[in-house]
Amino acid sequence: MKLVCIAKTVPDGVRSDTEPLVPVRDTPEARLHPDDACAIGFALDMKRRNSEIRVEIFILAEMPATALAADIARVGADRVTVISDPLYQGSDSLTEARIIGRSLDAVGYDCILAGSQTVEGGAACLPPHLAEVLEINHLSFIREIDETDFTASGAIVELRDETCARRYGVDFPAILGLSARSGYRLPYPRLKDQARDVSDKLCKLDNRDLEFAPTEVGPAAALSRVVELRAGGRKDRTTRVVEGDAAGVALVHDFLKDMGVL
Amino acid sequence: MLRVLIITEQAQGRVAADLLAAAQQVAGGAPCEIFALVVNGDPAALSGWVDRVVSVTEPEIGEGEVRAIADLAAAEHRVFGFACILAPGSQWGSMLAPRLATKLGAALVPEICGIEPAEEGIRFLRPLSRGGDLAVIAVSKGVPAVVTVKPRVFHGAGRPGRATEILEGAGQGVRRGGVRLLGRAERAERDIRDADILISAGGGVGERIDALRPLAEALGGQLSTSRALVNRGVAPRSLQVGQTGKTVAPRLYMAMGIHGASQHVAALEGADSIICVNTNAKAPICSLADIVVVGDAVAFARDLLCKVKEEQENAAD
Repeated sequence: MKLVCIAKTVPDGVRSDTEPLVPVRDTPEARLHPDDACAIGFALDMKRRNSEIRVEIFILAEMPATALAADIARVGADRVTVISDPLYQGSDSLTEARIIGRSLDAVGYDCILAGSQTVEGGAACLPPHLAEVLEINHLSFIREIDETDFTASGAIVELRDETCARRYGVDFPAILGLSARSGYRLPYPRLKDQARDVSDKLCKLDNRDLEFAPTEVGPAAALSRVVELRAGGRKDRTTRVVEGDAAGVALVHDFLKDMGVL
Repeated sequence: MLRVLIITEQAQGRVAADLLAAAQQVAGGAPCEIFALVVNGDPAALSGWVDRVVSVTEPEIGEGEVRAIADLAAAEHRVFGFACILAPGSQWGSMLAPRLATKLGAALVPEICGIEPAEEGIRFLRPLSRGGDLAVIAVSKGVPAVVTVKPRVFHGAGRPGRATEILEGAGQGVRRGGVRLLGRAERAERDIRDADILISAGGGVGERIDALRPLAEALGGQLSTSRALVNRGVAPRSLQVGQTGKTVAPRLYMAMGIHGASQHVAALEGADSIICVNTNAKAPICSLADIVVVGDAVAFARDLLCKVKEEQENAAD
């Protein structure tokens, strides 16, 4: 059985350039997105239970990720591939899915594991885009995978939202998007392994390998663009102070109505 | 004429009011035909709201089969050429919309919280970060947009009284199978981290915490607490907001009698709107609030609940 994990590096914060108007995530402090780390943690846990499982990791990186890749190899991944090219910077999620999809062309897999959410807390679009590119099944927001029923043909997973929990059976090949709150953890390399040479497990892919035309990747390929950034947030709001009388009740009632709560 | 499609979520028994409101904003004042795709649902529920309902009854298309829904929506797009397709910003919609955008070669704009008319096409607003900046997104000319709509942000659209035509859609040729719903269980105890609305009790409420429950239920929210009540043994730690409790990101946080220690406030950065009810208008948490109500939290909750019920009764009459 072969598991492939896809991951993206994220910075500790996101700054916004004024020209071009795009969120920039090229700060040097690369780390794995917590949801992605969780997906890798699950895959390595399954490998520890069943030595016949092979785990390959693909990291789409806008910043240096060699040390990160080596650490993942040191905790048990069979192969870690970093995909990076200056042409890919500023790509939207669909283009990223196409880049990863092409990287997986020659790689067989039973199941692809990924994260569920973006670093800003929204739903990650890359896994469902990739599922459509590869034409395979997909479920995100997974909080639990039934480890006893996780086989080469499929899995049973649980999704939870505010109101209910749903259990699904998924046939492989499929992409399973895990939530960081599922509790699976990517282990740290043990002290004795921290200097271990894992170069034979590391691989790099760039546009010389994947051969995208410049117009097919990066901002040029995007079908939408950010044309303006507006400051928001609570810090810019005026606080209204009212008494807890009928006027105060009416003001709060109207506020809730405007919010769509009522 | 501009055509807009809304995709109603399977297993949702009600009219998707926020999608309908967003669809009307997409049109602005321009002539527009609004379509709805309903799979294994009740098309009559949309009578008067949209121009056409495409209803597909195909029991084999289960709740988790977003691939089949994407195929059905794509088939309708090929016939009608929608400028914009709206899906709910739920887990279901968030799995559907990217698939559909990929299939159509459409621009995906996730989790929109606003729509603005522009000289060339439509512009969408979406949060760039929680509680932070907004990005205004323009879609390339001639490219359809597939968007997910942030829940409960769009509202206020009344039933426009459109003459609704119901069309029977065909489920043939769609990809199905591969994802099966095995079971569904209502969550007895909901996690406050998943809550959209939190009514949070602090030291000013104390043992009277249960008096806030009717308001929480009327607003569709949940109760949470500050550390003060957990330490007093009044509330379980699972309800505690704060650095030693849980970090939350509700759309509305009502801080009832909460002082607002830095450890509590740090766990609230994701909250969109904050209303504080406190006898002390200078409590630290009040500096974060949209509205500060000076008074007793329990008494205010009771009065607000009366007002909510009164308005609901008036609306029903």
